[in-house]
Amino acid sequence: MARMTEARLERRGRLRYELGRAAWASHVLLLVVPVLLAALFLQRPAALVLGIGAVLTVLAFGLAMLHDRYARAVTAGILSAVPALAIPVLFRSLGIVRLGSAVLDPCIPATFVAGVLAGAFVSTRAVEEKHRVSYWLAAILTAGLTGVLGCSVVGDVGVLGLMAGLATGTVPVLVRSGLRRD
Amino acid sequence: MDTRQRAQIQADLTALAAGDRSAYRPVFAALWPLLRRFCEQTLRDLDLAQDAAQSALMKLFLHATEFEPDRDAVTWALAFAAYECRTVRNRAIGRREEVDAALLAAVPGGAPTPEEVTIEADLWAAATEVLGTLRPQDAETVRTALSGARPTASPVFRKRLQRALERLRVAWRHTHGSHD
Repeated sequence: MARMTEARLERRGRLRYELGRAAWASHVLLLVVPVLLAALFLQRPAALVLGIGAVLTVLAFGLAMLHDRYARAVTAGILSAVPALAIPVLFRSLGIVRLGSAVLDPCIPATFVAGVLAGAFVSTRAVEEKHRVSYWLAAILTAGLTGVLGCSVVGDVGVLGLMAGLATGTVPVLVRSGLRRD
Repeated sequence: MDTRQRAQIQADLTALAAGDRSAYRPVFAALWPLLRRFCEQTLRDLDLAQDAAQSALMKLFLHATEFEPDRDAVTWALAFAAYECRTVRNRAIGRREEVDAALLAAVPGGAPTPEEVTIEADLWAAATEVLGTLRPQDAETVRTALSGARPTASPVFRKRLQRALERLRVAWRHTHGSHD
């Protein structure tokens, strides 16, 4: 190896560190890619999977590259949204349910319930972290993107149901943890 | 290195492994002199030590994310240096063997070996020394004969050479002794 000045050595070392970090961060793709394949398997439109998938992949990799806690947040976010990905799509096969004179699309409550589950899971994990807010933001963002892949089966209403569910699942956990801290 | 410094390196490397970039400079500042010193003491060659320490530091940073906080940071860092020292030393030994083999391979099949060349040079020096003890005419006759410039079929020269060689033999025996 050629002799280097200390400043150059420091720069080279930093570059090596970032390369190693990138290699490590790429492990999150082992979680992202199967989720995207599962979405395709569940007959979700390829354009949607490609669009959301590209954003999710870049976001997950970037966050994991940034810090370990964001890598954990990405893992928690994606895992928490697996029900949101699968349940509405599975409920779609039931079709429209008639309740007397009323008509109910079971996918809409399914998106909400899946959102509540994801929100509660992510928030529970977030309160255990030192940097709660940044962890929660990263996790809820990845959970939202993953959930949209499944919840969009009922259009914008499904996405809104997911968002409402995420908020509903989050609030009680955060309030409870706030009370416990006081 | 005292316990406080060790604990500081442990904390900094743990933070860096988690992705805290602000810990990079303290880790570099603490580990670079440590690795260099270790390599210098191990290899006892400043150039080789510098090479080994640089390689070790680069590998350490490449794998810094894999550092586990329950391991000792200094030991972990020195393991890279120890590995590099071994590699550099083995490479140096290999290079030396390669050079030796290349020297041997450079000797043509029918050519004298370096040992033969040395013996011949010694003999030539001894002969020149003995030749110097002869009369100038005898020494000149022998030199002419050795250079291959003697007049062909000249009985006078042949007789002169015969006498010069006899005196040379006597002088050789006198200087270096005889097998008889």
